[in-house]
Amino acid sequence: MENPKNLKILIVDDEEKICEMFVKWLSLRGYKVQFALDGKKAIRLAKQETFDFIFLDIVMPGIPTHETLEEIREISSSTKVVIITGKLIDSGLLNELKLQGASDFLQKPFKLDDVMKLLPDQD
Amino acid sequence: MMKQRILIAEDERITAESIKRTLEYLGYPVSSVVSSGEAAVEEAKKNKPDLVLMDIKLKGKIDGIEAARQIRSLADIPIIYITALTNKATMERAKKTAPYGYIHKPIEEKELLSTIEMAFLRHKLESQLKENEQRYRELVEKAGVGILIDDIEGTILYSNEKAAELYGYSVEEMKKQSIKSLVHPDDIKMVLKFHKDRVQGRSVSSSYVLRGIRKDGSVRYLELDAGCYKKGDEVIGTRLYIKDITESIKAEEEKEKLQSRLAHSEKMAGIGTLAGGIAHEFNNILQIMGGHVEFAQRTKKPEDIDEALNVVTSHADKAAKIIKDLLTFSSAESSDKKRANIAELIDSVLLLTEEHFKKYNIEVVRRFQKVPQVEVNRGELQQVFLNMITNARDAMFSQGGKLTIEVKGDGNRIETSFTDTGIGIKKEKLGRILEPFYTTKGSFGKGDIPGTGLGLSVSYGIVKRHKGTIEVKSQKGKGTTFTVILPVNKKKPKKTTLKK
Repeated sequence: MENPKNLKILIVDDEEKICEMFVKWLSLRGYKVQFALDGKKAIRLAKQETFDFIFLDIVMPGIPTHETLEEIREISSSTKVVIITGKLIDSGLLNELKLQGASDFLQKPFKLDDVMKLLPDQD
Repeated sequence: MMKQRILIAEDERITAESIKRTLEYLGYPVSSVVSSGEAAVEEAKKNKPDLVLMDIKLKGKIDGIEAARQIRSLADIPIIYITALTNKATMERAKKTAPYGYIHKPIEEKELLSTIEMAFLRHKLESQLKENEQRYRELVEKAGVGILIDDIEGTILYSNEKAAELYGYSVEEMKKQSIKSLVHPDDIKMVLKFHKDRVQGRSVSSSYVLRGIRKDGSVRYLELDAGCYKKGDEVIGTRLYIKDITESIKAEEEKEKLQSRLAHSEKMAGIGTLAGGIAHEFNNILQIMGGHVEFAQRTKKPEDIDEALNVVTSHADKAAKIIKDLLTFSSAESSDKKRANIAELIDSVLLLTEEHFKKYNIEVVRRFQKVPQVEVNRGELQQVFLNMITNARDAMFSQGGKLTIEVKGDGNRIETSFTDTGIGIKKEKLGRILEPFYTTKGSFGKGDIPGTGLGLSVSYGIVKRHKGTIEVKSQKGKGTTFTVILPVNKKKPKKTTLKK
C-alpha cells in the first residue's frame, strides 16, 4: 500500500458531531477525511473519487443503509466499508451486511484505537 | 253470503212446524227439526248448524239444557232457549250453558227474529274477540323474549314460556315467584327501587341489566326493558321484557381479557422500540462525548481542547434532557382514569419524539384548540398517541414531511387528528389496518420499517374502552389522517363483571 497519509476516507453519519469527531481523530494521525450526512451525498462523493475506507452509519434517514452499501460496492469494489451503529444489531443482519460487502463493524461507543486498528499501520 | 242454518229442537210438532215456516219466511234455512235431546246433540255433531233453537222440555232421556251443554262442549254453536217455563232452578241451570237468549212461548215473530239476529251478532263479535285474544296470546306466550307482569308488590302475575324457561321454572311455578326470589341479592335493592319509582310514576331508566337467580340457584345476566302495567290510568304493576345476555357478557369479558393481553404485548413492543431509539440516541451521545475526550487528551492545541470539552458539556446536557423527558413520560402512567388535558398528553409524547423527527426532516405542527378535559387512563392514551405519532414518522421515514396534530372539540366530543404527508395506505389495505397482527411494515434493515401489526389494533381497543373511536382517511402517495374521537363528560359506564 502507498503512503497511508494519502488514504482517502469518507465518514457517513447523520450526526454531524460524530463526523466532526472522526475528522478530529484522524487529523491527529495526519489523515484527510471527508464526510457526508446522508447516504445520497455519500454516493455522490463515492462517484467523484475512489475511497479506501468508508465508515457508514447503519441507521439513517433517506435511502436505506443496505442500498447505500450496495451502490458503494457497485461504484468501487476496492473500497473497504466499515459499518457503524448505535443500535444493537443481530448476527443475522450483520452476516447479511458482510455478504453485501461490509468489511468490518463498529458498535457505538467505540474508541479511537478501535478505528486505528482497522486502518493500515502508520510508517 | 250463505244464510245461517238453524237447528230446531222442539217436541211439539205443531210448534216446531210453525217455527220452521216462520224462519224460512224470514230467510233462515232450517237444517233439521228434532224432538229429543239426544237427536239434537247428534244433529249438531253431524250437520254443524250455525244456531240451535232449543226447547228446554224435550223427549228422550236428556232435556234441552243438558243437550245444549253437550253441544256447547262439542262446538262453538250459539244456543237460544225456547221455553214456557220460568221456574227459577231451571233458569239457573240454563244460565250455566251461556245461552245467547230466551224466547218465550207463545212465540212472536218479531221476538224470534230480533233474538236470532242479536245472537248471530254477538256470536260474530265474540269470535272476533276470541281470534284477537288467541293471536295476542300466541304472540306473547311463544315470544322469543321473556315477558313478565308483576303487581305493585312485585309478585309475578303472568309469565310467558320464555321467561319461565330463562328462570328454569314452569309457567305455573313462575306465578308463585316474586322479584325477591328472581333477582340476585346484590341487585335486589336497585331493582326494588326501580320498581317502586316506576309504580309511583317517577321516571326511571326503562332498560337495565341485572343478575337473575334461576330455580337451580345459578346466576344469569338479564337485560330488562320495563314499563308500567296499567289498568285505565292506574298503575297496577310493571311489565317486563327479559333477554338473557350472559353469553354475550362472557364473550365480551373474554374479548377484554384478550385485548388487555394484546395491549400488554404491544406496550412491551412499544417500550422496546422506545428503548431502542433512546439507546441509539445515548450511544451517539456517548460516542461524541468519549470521542471528544480522547481527542482532547491527545491534541496539543489548547484551543482544540476547549472546543472539544464544550462539545462534551453540551452533550451531557442533551443526555440529561432526554432522561428528564423520559421521566415526564413515565410519571404520567397510571392504571386508573383521571381527568386529563389531551394537549398535555400529546406534548408529553412529543417531548420524546420531536427531536428525533427533526433528523428525519419531519416538521411537527400543533393546532391545539382549547377543549374540555376528559376522563382517561393517561398511560393508555399516551400509548395511543405514541402509536399515532410513530406511524406518522414511519410513513414519512424516507422523504420527510409534515405531521399536523390537531385537537378540537366541544362539550360532547374531542377529536384529535394526526395528519402526515407520508406514503399513504392503499385503499384495499385500509379496511384491515385495525386487525391484530396486520401490518404494512416489515423487518428492519430490509429497507422497511419494523412493525408488530399490533399498534393500531391495541390503540383501537384502548379508544373503544374509552367509548371513543378511531377514524382513518388515506390517499396513496399523499398521506394519512388518523382521528381519535373521545366522548366528553359521559357518565361513567356501569361495569358489569361476572361474579361467582
